[in-house]
Amino acid sequence: MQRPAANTIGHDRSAGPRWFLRRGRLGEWHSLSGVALVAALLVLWELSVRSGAVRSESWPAVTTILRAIGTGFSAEGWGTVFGSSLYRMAAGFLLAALAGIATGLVLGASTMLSRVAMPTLEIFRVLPSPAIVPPLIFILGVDDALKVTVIAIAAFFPILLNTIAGVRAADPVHLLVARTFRVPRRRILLGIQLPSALPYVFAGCRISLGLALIVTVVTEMIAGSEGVGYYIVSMQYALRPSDMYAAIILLSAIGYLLNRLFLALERRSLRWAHGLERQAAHG
Amino acid sequence: MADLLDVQGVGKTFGAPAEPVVAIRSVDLRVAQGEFVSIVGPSGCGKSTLLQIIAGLLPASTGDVHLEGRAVVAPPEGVVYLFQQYSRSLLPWLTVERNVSFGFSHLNGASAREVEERCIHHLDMVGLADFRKRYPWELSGGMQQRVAIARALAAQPRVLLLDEPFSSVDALTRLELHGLILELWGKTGLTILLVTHDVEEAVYLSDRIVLLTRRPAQVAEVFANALPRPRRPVESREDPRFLGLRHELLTRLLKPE
Repeated sequence: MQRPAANTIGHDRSAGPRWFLRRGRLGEWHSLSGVALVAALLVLWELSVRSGAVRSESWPAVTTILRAIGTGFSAEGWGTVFGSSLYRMAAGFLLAALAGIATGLVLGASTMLSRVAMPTLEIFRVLPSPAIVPPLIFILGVDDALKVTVIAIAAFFPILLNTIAGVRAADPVHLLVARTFRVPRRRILLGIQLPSALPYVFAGCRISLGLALIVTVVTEMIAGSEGVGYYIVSMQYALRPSDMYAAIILLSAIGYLLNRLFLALERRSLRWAHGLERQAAHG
Repeated sequence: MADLLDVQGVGKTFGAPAEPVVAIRSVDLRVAQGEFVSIVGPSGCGKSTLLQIIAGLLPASTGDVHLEGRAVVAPPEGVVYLFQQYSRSLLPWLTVERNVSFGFSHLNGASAREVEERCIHHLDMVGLADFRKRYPWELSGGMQQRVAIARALAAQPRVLLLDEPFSSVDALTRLELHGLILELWGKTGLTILLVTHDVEEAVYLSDRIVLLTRRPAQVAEVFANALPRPRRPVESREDPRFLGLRHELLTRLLKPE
């Protein structure tokens, strides 16, 4: 049985690091080998400094960076730096998810409306986020309103497009079933088209989550007075590379954790889609 | 008895006006209240298309369908269509119970408890009350089709339209489902219209059999079925009246035109 949903799930599985979910001896080995590569790269980095192969003020040793990370936790450091960034990112992402799913449902279900709206949306979609920051500064100033708006706009489109595709991928037999039982339009939308779209929605949200983090940092670099993007740029100007790298490494860790959390949430919510996949695989 | 369902000159043409493909030429058919009628025809003759037109799921190109004297233009109240592909007709994100209530919970202001009781009652009728908290994909094919049958019955239809509902299960399960459908038909006073390419199934189950021609479909002949009821899975199939009608139908179906 051909399920469009299964494609999305399958794609997700290959795209995301999922070693923590696997079972069995081979799985354990794979997970260790993944961690081993990260550790080996860090050791190489450390050796490049200690051996004197790279001598540069702007290339600190890993241990120096780790110390910088450690001191940042004790002082009023990382909490303030990342707190405001994560708050803006979460606000922008949630706005994007709400708007993207709602608009996607409507446009996915109505061919007429999507014909009217899509060209306009496409024009906005292709604009790179940094390009809309200067004009928006005129309207929204340089504070949170600006940044949250830019983040939300960037994160909106993957969720919108995936939701539209998901709604259209609803099984035509399901829609006929709804018609024979005279199910009202609104219930078809929320009871069939929305759940059918969920695997696509989750895939879109995961793309958007990454985008939101990128755009958060970019907006803080362009028009920032706080947050991790502003911090990284400030540390570079202040010639404090250890603190700069410390923030970058933490940023990477946070991005990784967010993705991981999101995958776990997706697995829980899409139990039925994975069940269908299994059923299809076993005949 | 008055006719419940009246199909008059229904035809269906697909494709562009320049190159029309005539799927159904013209079909006349009357079904009385409480009857079990089968429509048999060669593969691809437009049987399912005809059934979807009768269900109000597809508009006819010519002719019309009347249910209790009212023209059918959209899925009418009291008519439920049961699909061949149970695995695609059940909603995988809902439990068995919620799948059953999906067919009727929007209809009237029933309380949550009444909805639940009605689900349990109908799942009990198909022998699946213990599986109501499971998901469809956790069940076997035959069980899934029984859930679909429970969902159809829970909507309390007067007419049940069956589109080859037994063709994607194994032979033994098919016989069990035949027995179940006959039992439910006997209990509820439903009117059933079954589309199938399985001649034995048609003879075993129905009162009358409508034989369609090859595409473009029209009624070749209507056969009254003299096989006595109650039907029994083994004995009825050895009855000379069963064998005679089966012989006649198969001969007609296999005859080159």
